[in-house]
Amino acid sequence: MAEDWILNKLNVLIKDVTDDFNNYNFSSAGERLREFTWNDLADWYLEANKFENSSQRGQILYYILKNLLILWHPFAPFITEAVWQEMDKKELLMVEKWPTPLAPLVRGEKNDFAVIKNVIITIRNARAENKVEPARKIKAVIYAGKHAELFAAQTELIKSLRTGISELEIKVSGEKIAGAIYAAVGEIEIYLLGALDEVKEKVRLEKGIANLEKIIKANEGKLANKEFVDKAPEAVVEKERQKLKGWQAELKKIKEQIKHL
Amino acid sequence: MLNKELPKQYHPADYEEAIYARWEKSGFFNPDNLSGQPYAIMMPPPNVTGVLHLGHALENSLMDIMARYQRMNGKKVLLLPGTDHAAVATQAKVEKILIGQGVRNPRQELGREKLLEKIREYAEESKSTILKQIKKMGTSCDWSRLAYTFDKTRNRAVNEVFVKMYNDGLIYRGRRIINWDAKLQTTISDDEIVWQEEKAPFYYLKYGPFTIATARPETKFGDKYVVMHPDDKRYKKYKHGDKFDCEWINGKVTATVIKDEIIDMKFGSGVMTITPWHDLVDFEIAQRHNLSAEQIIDFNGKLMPIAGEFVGLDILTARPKIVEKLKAKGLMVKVEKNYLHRVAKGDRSQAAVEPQIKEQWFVDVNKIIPGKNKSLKDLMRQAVTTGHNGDEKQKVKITPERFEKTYLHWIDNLLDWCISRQIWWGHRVPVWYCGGRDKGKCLPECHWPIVSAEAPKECSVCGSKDLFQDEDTLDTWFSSGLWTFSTLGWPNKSLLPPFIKGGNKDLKTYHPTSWMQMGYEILFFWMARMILMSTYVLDQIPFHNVYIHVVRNFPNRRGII
Repeated sequence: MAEDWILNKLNVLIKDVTDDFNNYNFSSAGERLREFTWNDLADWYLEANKFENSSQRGQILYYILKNLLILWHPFAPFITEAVWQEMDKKELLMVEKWPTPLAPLVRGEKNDFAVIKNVIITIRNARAENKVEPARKIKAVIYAGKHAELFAAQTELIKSLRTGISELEIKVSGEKIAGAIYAAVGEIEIYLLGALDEVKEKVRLEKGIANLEKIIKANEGKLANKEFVDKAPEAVVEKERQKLKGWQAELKKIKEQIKHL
Repeated sequence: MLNKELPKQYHPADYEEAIYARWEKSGFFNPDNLSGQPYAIMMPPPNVTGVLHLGHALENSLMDIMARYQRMNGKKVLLLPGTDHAAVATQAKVEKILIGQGVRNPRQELGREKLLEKIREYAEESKSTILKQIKKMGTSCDWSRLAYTFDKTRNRAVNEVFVKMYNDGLIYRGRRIINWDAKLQTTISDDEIVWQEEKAPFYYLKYGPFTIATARPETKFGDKYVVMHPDDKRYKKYKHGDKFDCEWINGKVTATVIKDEIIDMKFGSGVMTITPWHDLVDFEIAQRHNLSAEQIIDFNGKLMPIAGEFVGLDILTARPKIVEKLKAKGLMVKVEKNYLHRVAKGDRSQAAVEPQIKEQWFVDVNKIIPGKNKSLKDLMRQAVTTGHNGDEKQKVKITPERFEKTYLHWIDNLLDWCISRQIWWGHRVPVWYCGGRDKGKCLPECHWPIVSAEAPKECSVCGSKDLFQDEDTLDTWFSSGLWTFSTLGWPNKSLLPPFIKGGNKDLKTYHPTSWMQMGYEILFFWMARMILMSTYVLDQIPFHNVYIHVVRNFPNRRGII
């Protein structure tokens, strides 16, 4: 799951970095590479990879490293060549062939790993906002809706990626849980038990509502703009509509939860 | 699979030298060992005036990124390294060092040959350091094609181009107002001037029946022409050519009335006297009406005998004394204390620049080139707009696009290019004169300059072997303008267009070059000159793409952005 995600990201990276070079946007290329290497690869994939039960794990890492060294080479010729040589390559990295992206090129974070990633980030943020001490282990309940099966298979991953969860329960749906820290990602509901400061939580949820209302208003405005709807490609307009739906669902859930405090 | 443990930390010093050596040994820095489509980048040659700075590091990075990227995309990449002798900059630097070491007047005390020797020494040391620095940065350039703007091959190219331009009537010896830098004792081009705003007193003086105003009373000694606008009703009663006598700084003068539309009727009294020797506008007025010009300030910045009792004084010392005399004679009408005006300073010397009339070598940018039906200006313009000779494939693309406008605007306002310099460090002007002392009497034709790419053995008119070369050297940008093709060995085996059989292979393969990058501050000095030279000499654009990068803040620069 994480493999699909990172390979897709790498594919998009190759395309975008190549385009940047061809347009002399060197800074942009560098930033993209950095984002991928530090964030996507190091912070997420390398961590998630430890939980993947894949026989191809090593090969995939090798493939990613190889391509990354090539892409980085113009910016950092010495260190990339040094690492390349350690990979027992007979030829010089300097004259290695530049990669081409594989078809089809898929943009956007639609896949499973992306969903899990967002939930993990949301849990971390909720903890931080509620000033839950990082070392404190808590129990979490996730109503994952159509993603329930996916989440059930990834409980170890979720618990291990700095979410501070010692016990995790996945359900398709369920009753509102009182006295819990609440967060929503689209239609997925997350409850963090035993760490709630009700006052703080209320403030946090209200902030969430205010924020969402702002985003929704802007989005509705965009979709009400006849020029945009008529002129933009259908795929783009549809994407905005989907985003709106997601936010509206999230808003609904948070409003309900606030009632329960 | 890989199962290795790498050291936890990367120490560059442990790897870089060995890796660079391996790269060099592989031969892949040399495009002769690569296949694919040629892709050439000529590195802007750093001046041998010391060591590289952060700007060089930026440029080096940009070029190496591009070179490596293209090489990995299967191109036959040539990244060509070089250094620049940088005429006035290097000589100025070395003279400064010598002065610091106690040599009061380096040119006088050492003489031409010894001073050149010192400059050469300094340049070689600087060059060696710079080349090492380029290697240290991991630059994947072709060392086998290393060039120097001042080496034999490049010198030959300079001479050939000079001769070609002269024979086409594009180079002439002219009497022109030039920008004289008294500190460096040389002409500098308009682009080398930095304008500083200053507050100075503005003096209103009585000149016969008129009031004229000036910030520079020291230039008024020879004034004998008073200029006004033909439509100015205030001065209707005076006709162009009228003469009158009036009392002036050092006695009586006979003045002539001149009517010219250049005068701004709204400024001051609408009347001014002119100093054709020391002001461009005044010079042009004098040219238009065939007026005479007198030199008031000498080449050392001191007043000449025409200034009477003030002879030999430098301007700043003389000015208050002259003001006193004018007041005493009742010629001072009023003084405006804080008049804001611009003063020209040389960017290398930071000293005041005085316009002077001098015989110099110029490139005519407006003359129609025989056989081409266009001027150099046209060539420079075309290359960026319609493409050279209207060929879209021979079009220079500038990134970011906005510099295109800046470039075209500059071309429209371009004056003839003054290419001679009175410094010693540089390409000597390839012109000889007949001394004729071994022949007794020289014929009048012997006074014509002998323009030749190689030192002539004798005068073609009288056979005299007593020849002497023009003392001047060429503007460093004259040689830098040839960089994209002089580095490829032109004019070796290719005095004709590069598409003949057996011609220079490098020129055929790599020219026009693919990519050129530079800071915006040398857009006119360099990019424009390279376009001029390449389209004129080779009938090709020098590069397909130019990338302009940002430059760190220069104080007092006439910056574009």
